[in-house]
Amino acid sequence: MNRYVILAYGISLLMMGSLAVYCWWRDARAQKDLRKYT
Amino acid sequence: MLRRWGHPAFWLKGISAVNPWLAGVGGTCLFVGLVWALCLSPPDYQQGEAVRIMYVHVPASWGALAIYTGMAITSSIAFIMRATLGHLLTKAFATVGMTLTGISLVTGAIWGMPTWGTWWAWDARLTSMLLLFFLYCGYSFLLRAFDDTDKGLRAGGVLVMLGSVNIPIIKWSVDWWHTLHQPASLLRFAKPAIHGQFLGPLITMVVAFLLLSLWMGFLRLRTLLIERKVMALRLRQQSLSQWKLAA
Repeated sequence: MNRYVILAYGISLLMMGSLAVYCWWRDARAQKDLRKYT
Repeated sequence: MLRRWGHPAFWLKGISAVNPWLAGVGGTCLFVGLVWALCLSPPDYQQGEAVRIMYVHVPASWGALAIYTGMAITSSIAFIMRATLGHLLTKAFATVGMTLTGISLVTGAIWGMPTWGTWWAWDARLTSMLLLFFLYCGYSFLLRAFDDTDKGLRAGGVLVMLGSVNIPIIKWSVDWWHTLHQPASLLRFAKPAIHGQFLGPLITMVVAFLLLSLWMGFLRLRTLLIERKVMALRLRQQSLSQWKLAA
């Protein structure tokens, strides 16, 4: 494996991972807000 | 039937049932795809190890195009049927599409260096893909430009529908113009111009990206639906307390 492959996979996984964490965190926060009102 | 599809409760229930499966199967496919792409698949006789970038570049590019096409469809349905849920679906998948376009552009630039000798060229495919990224960014900015959320959603929907002209340009840019980017090797009428040894990990990664994109898009949709519900409940509580004070 060369440095270009490592760079491409590293950036891709970082971007997908960050998005997944962001979506999950926003969903968890919204569910917590909903529990306050129901 | 259509009324059921447009009801938030239907989507909230459906997402809760489907999402664990999407995450589980998508995560497994990603793991298998990564091992296959990085350890088991052979290097290319011309490109060498750099060919492995294809297994993230192609799924991200297809995902970005598929999501934008889906967004144009949901926006059209939202305008035709006056359904806010269509606009919410568009908004939910916009972040995912923008990330996939970003991955496609970055991995394309990294792949370009060892194969073409340059990070970037103003060729038709690359430029139209960059335009797609700007369309995704423009949509996100437009949503935030309005104080009235629903007005922002409608304005964004118009932009998405107008921008869908760019999708066939991206797809056929490699056939219409002489580009540095290679022509289609898989999505074409003739037999795929790619060896079977590369096809396995590529299809696995495409499935992984598809399932994980759906998982994240549905998570965003559930968040948007819950946020709207919380906002309505908050307003109701405020008006009730004001009414009690007045009484």
